[in-house]
Amino acid sequence: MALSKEQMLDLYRQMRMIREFEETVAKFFSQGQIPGFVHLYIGEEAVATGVCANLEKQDYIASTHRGHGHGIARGASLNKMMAEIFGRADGECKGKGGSMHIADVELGFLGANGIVGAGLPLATGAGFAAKYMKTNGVAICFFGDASSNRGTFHESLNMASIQKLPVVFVNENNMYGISMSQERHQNITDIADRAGSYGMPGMVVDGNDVMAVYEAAEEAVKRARAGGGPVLIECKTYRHHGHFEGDPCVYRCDEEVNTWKAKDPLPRFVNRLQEMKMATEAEINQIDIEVKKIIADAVEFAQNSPVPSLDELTSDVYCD
Amino acid sequence: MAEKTYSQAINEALEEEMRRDEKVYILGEDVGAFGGCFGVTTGLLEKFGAERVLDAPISETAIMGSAVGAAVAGLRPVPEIMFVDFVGVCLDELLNQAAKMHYMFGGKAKVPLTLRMAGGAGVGAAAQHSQSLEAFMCHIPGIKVVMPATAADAKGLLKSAIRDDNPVVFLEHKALYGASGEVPEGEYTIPLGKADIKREGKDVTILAYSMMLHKALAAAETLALEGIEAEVIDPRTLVPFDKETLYKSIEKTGRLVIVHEAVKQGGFGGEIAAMVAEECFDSLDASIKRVAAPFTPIPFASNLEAAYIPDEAKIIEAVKSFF
Amino acid sequence: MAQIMLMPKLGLTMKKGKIVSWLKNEGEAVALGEALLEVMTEKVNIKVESPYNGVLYKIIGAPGSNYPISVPLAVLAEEGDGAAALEAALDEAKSVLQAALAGGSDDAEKKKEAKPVKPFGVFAGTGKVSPRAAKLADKEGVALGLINGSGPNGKVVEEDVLNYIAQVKGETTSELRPIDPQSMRGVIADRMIKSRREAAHVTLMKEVDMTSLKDVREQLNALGADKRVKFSFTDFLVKFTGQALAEFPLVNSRSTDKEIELAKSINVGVAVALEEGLVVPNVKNVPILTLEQISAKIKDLAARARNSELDPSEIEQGTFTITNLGAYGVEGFTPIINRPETAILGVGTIRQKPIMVDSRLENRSFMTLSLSLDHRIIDGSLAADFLGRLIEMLENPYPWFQLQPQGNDDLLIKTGGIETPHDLLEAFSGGLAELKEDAPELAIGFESLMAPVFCEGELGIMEKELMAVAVAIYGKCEYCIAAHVYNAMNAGASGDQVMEAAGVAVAFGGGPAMAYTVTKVRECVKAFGG
Repeated sequence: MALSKEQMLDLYRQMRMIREFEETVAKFFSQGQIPGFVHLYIGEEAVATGVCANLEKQDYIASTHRGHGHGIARGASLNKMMAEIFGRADGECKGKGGSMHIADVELGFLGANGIVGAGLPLATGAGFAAKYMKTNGVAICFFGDASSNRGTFHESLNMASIQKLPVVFVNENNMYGISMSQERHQNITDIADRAGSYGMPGMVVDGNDVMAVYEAAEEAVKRARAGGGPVLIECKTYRHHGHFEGDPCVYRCDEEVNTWKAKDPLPRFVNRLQEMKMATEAEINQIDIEVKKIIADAVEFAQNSPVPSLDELTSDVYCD
Repeated sequence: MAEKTYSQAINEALEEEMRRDEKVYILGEDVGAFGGCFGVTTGLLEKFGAERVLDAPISETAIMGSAVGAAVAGLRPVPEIMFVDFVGVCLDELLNQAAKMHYMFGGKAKVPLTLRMAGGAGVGAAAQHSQSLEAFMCHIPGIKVVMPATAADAKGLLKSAIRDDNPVVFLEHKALYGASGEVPEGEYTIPLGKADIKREGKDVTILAYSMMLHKALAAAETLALEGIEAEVIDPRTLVPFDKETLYKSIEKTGRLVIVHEAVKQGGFGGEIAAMVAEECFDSLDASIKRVAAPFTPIPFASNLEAAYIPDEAKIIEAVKSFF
Repeated sequence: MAQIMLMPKLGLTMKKGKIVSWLKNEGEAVALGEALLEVMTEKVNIKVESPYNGVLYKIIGAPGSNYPISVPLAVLAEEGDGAAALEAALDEAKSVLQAALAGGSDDAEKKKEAKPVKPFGVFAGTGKVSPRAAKLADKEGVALGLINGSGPNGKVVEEDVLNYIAQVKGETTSELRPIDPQSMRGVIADRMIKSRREAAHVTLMKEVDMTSLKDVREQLNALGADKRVKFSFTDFLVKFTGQALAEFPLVNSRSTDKEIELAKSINVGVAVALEEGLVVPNVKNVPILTLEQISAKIKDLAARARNSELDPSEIEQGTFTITNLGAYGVEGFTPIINRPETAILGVGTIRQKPIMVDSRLENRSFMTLSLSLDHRIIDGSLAADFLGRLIEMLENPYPWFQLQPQGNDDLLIKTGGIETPHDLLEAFSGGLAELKEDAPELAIGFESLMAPVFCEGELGIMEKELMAVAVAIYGKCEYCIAAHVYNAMNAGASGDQVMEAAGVAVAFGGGPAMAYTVTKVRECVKAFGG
């Protein structure tokens, strides 16, 4: 289904927003204003953007340690996300979760996750809940290439398949499990090949092409929502930064990085928009300016937010 | 009151809660037509259908993980891990997901699930099917840990656990499934975190839970013949733990014996002993005694297994060491 | 076990002390009670004794330095102490000392004072006391060292402390009984304190010679023996008090805050001690009763008081009270007035005392009367007069009973020292009389020698006896002096004549004769003259 100009520009805005957000986080992280460690989504924006553009209110996403992009694409508050990453009281999780645990359950965002592969059964359960409660919802699980080696991948895809759950497993194959390249960590090229083992369709798409991702996800989400069961989509992509900020990236060469930067999803989509006469340079610039302003506001919001009160240390361990 | 088995009582609790709340569902290995490995879920498939009583593949990770996902999404799953020994297979889902989500997400997520698992030795099930692993569950903030000893408590506590908005680990003792006890008629629940004084006494406090409660009560009767009146307390819930009832009892008796079936080293009895030593030291008239299993895997041969499990004689010996 | 020697508290106000010197060297043995170090307090230098037997292991308190009380100064090794235990104790002691010195503020000192370092058992870690027992002991202020443990390995448990406390309490403290205000004890308490508060008590004490009354009592009891009447001193006291009260109406009064009632009748109360307290039934109209009636009435009242059979009227309307503690050996006391009466007479015990009567030592009986009066109503002089009158009657009771004194000679006290002329005379004549029994020939011989000499002849008996006086003096025989002075004066010699005869003896006998003359001869003249 062809997208309108407005939808196309929204895709761009969303990707730009993620890019701007992540670059800003990188900047403040390097300045020492952000504690802990952060895993940035720069280079992979097309996946979250293309998938989430297909979602409805009742749908769920389960994310990964590299989750900022997923949250933004799902519509989480940029102010609250930024404040959370800064460890402030007004963060999504009152400053108690941090970068790897940003969540907004109300939005169907089941959270980033510090455990690689942990989102797979969570999304499976969310898909089960949607089916059980007949909400017509679907659950998306974003997961990396290395997660596909975990038992959770196997168990979750199998269970989702036998229970015919409305789950779309979106593999973000950025070619590395931390330092271990895909060719070293598994003897297959396409993770989508594994779908067949669980009796579900598998698709391979260019993860740096937001339109391609959008279209694949559109098909899979439709199928799942219609009760057709789970689908595995493999999005081939690449992270421009290291596994985490500060990663010296000794495991990959500049040539490889440059090759992938040449395939950066943002310029590619801008070119396409211009080729398709969907957007002028001025319109793109206008979006970029707006986005910069929004992210700058988010930083201001975060920096103005107080640190959590010490009472928060032991609150929220249990629900009342 | 009616005489029912521990297993029947749990089954009733499940049935009642499933009738009360449509969001409650059961998921586990062989819980459907098979009725569960120990028969606890017998008849529930017929009553509630395959949508609510789900046989799961041998996938503890997916059972537990999907239950967490479903719980966050608004359901009240009651997953069953057949033997507590298998919890290691899905420990991440318990330890890092279920337990922490409410806190990590700043109080916004709830994980109202009840993980039922069968533990305990005494049936010749050997090292991987007989353990009592409550101690490390109690070490994880964010989950509650319940260990019922009687049919009535099992029913009332399970109903409370299912209604609780927190992840609750409900540890059943496999050797108690066939044990009968008086179970109140009709609807009732027992609050989590409330100990029960199963026998009153003035000379020594014996804290025992799960199967060990019954051994402690038997020991108390024997001790009574010798003029030692033991107060036997069943905490029923280890997290949250009812300190008040225990401390009151110790204030009265001045002596404490803690009995559990799990190995002594790193056992929850150590936590209780430390708690008492820190907060109730002045009430003690003797050092705290623990009666627990030796630091060894559970053996298969019947005589070895019998030697492994704490028994009445060991409890009596511990109590008598005070006098 | 390694022991920690602490800076001792050597006085109530001592907060710190300065070590003057150590009297033992490290490694030197020291016995319990042996001087270990010298400490100077604000007031004085004191040699501090070792509280332990052992060896002075290490000194950590330096001479010349001041240390708060209860801080460790040294570690003492006891027999069997291992090096590790000693080092552990030393470390602990040092750290406590340092902590004490570091927190040198007043607060820190106060804390130290309030919670001194526990010197026993702490360092060796052999918990021999249960925490519960320790807490109880602390609360009750019991030294744990005094308690034997009955727990495992001899550990002191709560029960041991409880038993110890029970035992100690049994030894040193009394049972507490509540006073029921409705009980006799409650009423007495209330009345006594009220009286003490309301009346201006003054007590006069005076001794009474009861010898005569004793005599009278014996005589009357002897007379009444067949009637089985036996009078007590109380009977007489009631009788004479009644008489005295009749003469002193103000003492027989009852008073309130506002008025004095001069009682018409004289009703004398007698305090009767019961197990649960005291009751005071009274004998009504004492002056019109005979001693027998009084005696009977008192016995009846006392008996019924003991059986709780008294009628309220027998307790009410008293005008004066007698309380007798003589039976308990009490001499004098300060009785509390039985309000609304205005005076009370306390009677003490009767004791025999030697007393000089007419230059004779007599064995007489005395008793002290203690009269408490309400000075608001009765002045001291009036009370003294009343008491004087009562005593007068008690000391001269014969006329009241138409009796004569009897057995007064029994009162004489025989002394072993200087003998009176009568004694001498008696001894001599008594001796002669006895000699007649024991050795008649000798007595007869002596008399047959004497009789022809001391008969009327050319010289009269008087002259011969006067000569005998002189010769007796010269012979230094006091018995002879007494006998012949007596005989001479019986024969008509005057005192002067006896003294002249004595002068003759002095002329021959000098000093010794003079000594007898001025003592024995003069005494005999006095005794036998007129």
